[in-house]
Amino acid sequence: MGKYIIRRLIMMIPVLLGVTFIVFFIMSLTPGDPAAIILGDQASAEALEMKRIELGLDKPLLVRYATYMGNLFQGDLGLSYRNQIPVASQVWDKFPNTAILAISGILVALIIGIPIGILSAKKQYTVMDNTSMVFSLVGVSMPNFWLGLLLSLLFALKLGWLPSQGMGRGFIGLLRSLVLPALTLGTGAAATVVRMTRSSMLEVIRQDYISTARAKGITEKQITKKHMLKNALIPIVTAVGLQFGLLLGGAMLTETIFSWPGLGRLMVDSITSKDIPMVLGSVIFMAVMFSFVNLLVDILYAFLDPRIKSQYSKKVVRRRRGVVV
Amino acid sequence: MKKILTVLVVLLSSIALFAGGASERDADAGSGGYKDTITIGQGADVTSFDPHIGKETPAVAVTNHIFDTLVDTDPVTGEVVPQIAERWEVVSPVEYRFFIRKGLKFHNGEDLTADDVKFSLDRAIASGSVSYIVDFIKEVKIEDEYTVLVTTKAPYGPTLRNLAVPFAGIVPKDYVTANPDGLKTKPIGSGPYKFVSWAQNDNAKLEAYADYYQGAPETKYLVFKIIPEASQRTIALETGELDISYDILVSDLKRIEENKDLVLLEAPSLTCFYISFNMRKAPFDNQKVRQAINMAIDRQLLVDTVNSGTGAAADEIIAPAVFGYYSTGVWDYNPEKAKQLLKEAGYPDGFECSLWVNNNQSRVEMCQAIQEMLREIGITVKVEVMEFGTFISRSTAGEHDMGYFGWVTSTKDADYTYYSLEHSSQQGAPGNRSFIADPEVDRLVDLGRTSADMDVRLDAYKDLALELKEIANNAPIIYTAITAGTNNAVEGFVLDPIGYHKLEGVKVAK
Repeated sequence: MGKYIIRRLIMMIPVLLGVTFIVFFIMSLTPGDPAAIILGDQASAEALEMKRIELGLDKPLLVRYATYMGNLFQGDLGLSYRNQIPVASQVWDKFPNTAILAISGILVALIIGIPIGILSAKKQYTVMDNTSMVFSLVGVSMPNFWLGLLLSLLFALKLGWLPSQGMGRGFIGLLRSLVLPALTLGTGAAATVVRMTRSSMLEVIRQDYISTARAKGITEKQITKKHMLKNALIPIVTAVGLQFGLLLGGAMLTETIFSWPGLGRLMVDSITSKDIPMVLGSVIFMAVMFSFVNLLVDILYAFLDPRIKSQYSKKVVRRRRGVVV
Repeated sequence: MKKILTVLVVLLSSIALFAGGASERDADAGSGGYKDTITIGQGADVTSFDPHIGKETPAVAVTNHIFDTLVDTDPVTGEVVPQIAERWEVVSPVEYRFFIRKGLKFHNGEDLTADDVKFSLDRAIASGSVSYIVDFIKEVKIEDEYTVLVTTKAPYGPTLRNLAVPFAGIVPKDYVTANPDGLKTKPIGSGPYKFVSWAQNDNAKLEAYADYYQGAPETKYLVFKIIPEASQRTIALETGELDISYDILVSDLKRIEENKDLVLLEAPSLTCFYISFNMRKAPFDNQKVRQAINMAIDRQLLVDTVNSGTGAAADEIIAPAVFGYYSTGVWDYNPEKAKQLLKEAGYPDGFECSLWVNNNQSRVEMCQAIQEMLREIGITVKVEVMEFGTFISRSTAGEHDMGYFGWVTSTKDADYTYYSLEHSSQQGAPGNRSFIADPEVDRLVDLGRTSADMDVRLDAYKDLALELKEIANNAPIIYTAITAGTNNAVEGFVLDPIGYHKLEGVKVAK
């Protein structure tokens, strides 16, 4: 298991190299001069040239890439073009905010998604199943920015219960400001979780071992919990893991609508201003987070399914075979 | 399942609990009938608190409360008024002597002297971001502790107005020398408000500077909240989370107007959108063609439809609030006469050409409407949308037929725009993308630029405006509007056409 984790961590290096290479060259080769974007259409030629030199844009592309990578290996993500503040500190500043939102969003998705998914599967083709499927279809299809605005209009403007935007201070303030963005983010993800849970449960429900369990007289509750759900969890964990990895990189739309100061907004702002170091820094961070969550999901498989755990550890497999034979 | 239901119940009851909780805003309330905090919503964050770097409106909206300049312009009258300099004298056409107010202190307690003024102006000149505002200065000489002599490279009429631009802010020399990056995140100035905190992409908080030379500001704290989504800014204004909201979405204007608890403020900005004809290319080298296009555009219709009634039809490339503006009257919409002019120019059946615009939705929509108007006089226009950097670099190289540009007269002085857009020495990157090179235009621009006599300048700009209307190298289209919404408890808020407003005199009744 330990070896597997180390191997996976080493495999992240080429992934990150590929990411930096692609993003650096795409950002640098797409038309548009960062100096012109920073200074606007009223800047003089001299001012533009001064700015280019200040940003190091007067050097050849490959030299810039080599310098960037050299600094990266020393943990230096460079300075933002726009505000000249170190990229790493800006990304780290914003990460906790994004993490809070991502975790809350996923919690909302799980709290809503898994029970409804289980109920739908167990009561397949009933009114309850059809209703939840329609709602989850609406949930998947509804754009976040629209749902966010509707929630704001209802809970902030009409009812006056919650703040319409921003990240509140203090525990209660934070929780109050978290409800709407987490609901917005969680609803879309919940819809996916409902559908995934339902289909995965339906596959398990028809297995012989479920009939055997029932024949043994185990209660329906125990069957659902221990025999159905546990076996149905692998695809659900995969889907939730992917969603979580994405959310950790910043939920751009939700963060923008609710003025949540997270990574997503930092990234949108830096893309529109062609702030290459800032985009690179955020993308590298996002890639690391994504790879990391994927690794966690893979490790989680082992705990959910002993067969997978045995594959990680060959010694265990041999011993078991020995016993059986 | 029970556990999950319990969690749901807890979650819902928490929402109900929070609903009853006191909001942060109420907790900020001060005594004496007025709140101690004004909360302002704006669409973008401060790029840099360093006045010599952060030149974007959202940055200056905050930093112009922290830093003062040598002189200031009155937001209502547009007149130049004293600030750090209590008075000044024009020694010669190239020399201005400024007498610095004694007893001024920066927020860190250091005295503000001639040394800081020289250091600041030299720093602004060397800045890649804002040098264009102050690069007319040849030298800043310290005459004594409270007197500086600013020498310009050539006689320069708009000297005072340029020095009033917030990018020429005065910063503390000792603090900046000891910590060159300090201003970016912990700014120290001598303005009416002191910096308290900045949470990037969230908010910036300022506190009243009790020792400000004009007296402490009316309200103790200013909190600038960053709310990128415009409709959310309106909602936050309606819920009372904001006292003032900048840049109201056009579709929200009516909602604010109809809400009796809110006040909508609107004024023409200093921004003009215009089409530049590339006079190096046929058929735009023909004056009649340029005049025909000007006549074929129904500007008021564009304001009423594409701009939903905000802004105003433009008659010049400088806005009415700019010093030197002379109204030549908006071009009459007359497609018949336009067709006649095209015929006289040798294009009875019209022609095909392109109109370039950068990828900004409202600009593109404006160009599409103009495209239809020109189709009526036989001109087939292809609207080409491109990324901003490409748009600027290719139009700088003169590859365009027509380009749709926007220009802000940041200094509120006509020279800033006329020199960049109309002078033959400024072709390409500096701004003259119609590539006009007319000796009479150059003479009038130079006269307005070099004279220190305001009457001479105004006369020159009047003649210039009439001359340019005749040449028609550009087609001014619209002046955009500056908008803001406030709740009706806000007192003393003045909308500045430049887009960043001074809030030291503003207070909000509880």
